[in-house]
Amino acid sequence: MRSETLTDHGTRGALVFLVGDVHLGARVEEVAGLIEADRLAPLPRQHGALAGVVAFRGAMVPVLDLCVVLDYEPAAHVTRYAIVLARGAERFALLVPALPRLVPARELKEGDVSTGDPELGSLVETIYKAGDVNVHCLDYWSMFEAIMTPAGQRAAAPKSF
Amino acid sequence: MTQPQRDRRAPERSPVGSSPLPAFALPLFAIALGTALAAGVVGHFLAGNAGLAGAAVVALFGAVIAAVVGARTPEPARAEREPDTHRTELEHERHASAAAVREVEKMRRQIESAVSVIRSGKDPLTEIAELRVGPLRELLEAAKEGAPGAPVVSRLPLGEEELIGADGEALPEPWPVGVDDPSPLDPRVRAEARRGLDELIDGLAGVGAAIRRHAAAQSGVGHTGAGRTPAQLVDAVVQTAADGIEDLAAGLMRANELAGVAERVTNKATLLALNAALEATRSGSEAFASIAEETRRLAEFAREATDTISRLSSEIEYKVGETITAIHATSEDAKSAVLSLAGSPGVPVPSPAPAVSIAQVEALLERARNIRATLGSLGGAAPSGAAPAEEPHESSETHPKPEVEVVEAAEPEAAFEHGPGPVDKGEANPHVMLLEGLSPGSKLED
Repeated sequence: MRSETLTDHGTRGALVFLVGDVHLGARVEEVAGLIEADRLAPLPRQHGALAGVVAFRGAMVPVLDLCVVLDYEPAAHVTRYAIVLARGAERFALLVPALPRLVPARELKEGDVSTGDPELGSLVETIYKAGDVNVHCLDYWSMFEAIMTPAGQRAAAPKSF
Repeated sequence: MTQPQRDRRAPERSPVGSSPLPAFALPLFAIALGTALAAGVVGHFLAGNAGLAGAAVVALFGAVIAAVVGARTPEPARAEREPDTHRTELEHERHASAAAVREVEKMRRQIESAVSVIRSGKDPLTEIAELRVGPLRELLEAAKEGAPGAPVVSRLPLGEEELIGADGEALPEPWPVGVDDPSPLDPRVRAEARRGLDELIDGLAGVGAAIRRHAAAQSGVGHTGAGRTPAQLVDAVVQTAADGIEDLAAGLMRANELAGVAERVTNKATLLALNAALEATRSGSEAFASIAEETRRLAEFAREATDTISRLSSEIEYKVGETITAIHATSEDAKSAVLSLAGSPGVPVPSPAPAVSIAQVEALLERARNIRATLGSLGGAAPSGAAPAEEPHESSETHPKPEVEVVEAAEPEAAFEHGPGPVDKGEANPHVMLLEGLSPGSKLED
């Protein structure tokens, strides 16, 4: 494997996975790792898209179920994987129903956001074209923060009001 | 036999004696004298009617005593008369024996004549007038009719009312077997007959064994080893094959499980390769990139191997299922074919004919053994294991009773004396085989 260079849109590649009938992607610079989600630990009073926590390299990482977030029917009796995203010291995982594949940057072309799936709306951050497939890179951190508000912000919110 | 029984006791009752006065007369005389004296004494001392009555009582008492003593006295001359009675009886039996010997000699001459006429190809009943009234007439008529399957050795059906001679007079006495000559057969003839009977018994036993083998071979057409029919054998083979294939299917299921494990290992390897590629892409390290590349190749190889194993396992499982179905279908077809073949005329089916043949041969064998036993008893020692001659056996049910009957015991009329004459085995009429064995020149000895 030769070393990938940064493309114009600032990524060396994308981890592409399928949810429902939509191809989603995550830039490799945001991905900390990929693990099997066979030992997903539930949380007390969990609800909605929060699927539980998973152990990744010695740390507990919250997991969001993308099928629930995007309102797709989750596939049953299949091995699910957790894509751990990292931003600084923060991490969380996206629960995906299939094993992703790594598409290097040389196979990606940046597309127009307006050509993306309209149902995804404002969640789409970037669109890459890998051949004939539109890979939708979403703003996963905004989704995560909308579901799990950071403790500091929650505590600060009452102060702001 | 209704031969008039002679009263052997009659001559003993005839009064034969040499003493003029019996031995018991003296005690009777003494008792009478004593009684008279006692009666006189009683009459002397008792006068009148009482004395007369007492004398009469004493005399009567003496008469009773004399009668008792006379009755208990043994007859002294009976033993002396025994030798004369025995002598008379022996003389009478000698006369009877001589008459029987003459009659048998006459019958033997008739048989010799009949044999010679038969050998010349003529009918003895038409050639010899003497044979038409004698006891040989029935035997010769039976031989003339030539009933197939008749026994080899025959005897004349002589009943008690038929014991009459050619002149119509009753025979004086049966042949006294065991008195003068216990074995009327010549030893050479007896030995020859025993040897022939032994050969006959051996031959019949061989024929019986051959028929049993034939029957077993015929029954083997419809049966196979271990007594199973072809349908059962087909069933067993199919069942064995189905069991083996089911075991193979179970092994395939286990292989599928192992293929699942291999798939999980492959997924792990793929995951590891992805993580390595992610790290290499993110860091841009050449070393990490090469590790990621090798890991990816390993994962690809494992994936291909796992896919191949899963595909082959699925194909084999599918084919095993098809084979099991085909085997069961073939089993049903084979059973139907076997059943249809068993009912077709081209396939030999075990028939009851061999059993009947075996029964016939065993009946002949039993008859030959009876004859052998009879011959042995004539010789003075019956062979061990011989069946009782008088017991009826099943051959009388399977064969029509011929006009002449089988010799079953040491009958007096079968006790002809034989000579070592040649036996022409080419002549197949069984009724004359006894006659063939007679020696024309032999004579009965008194």
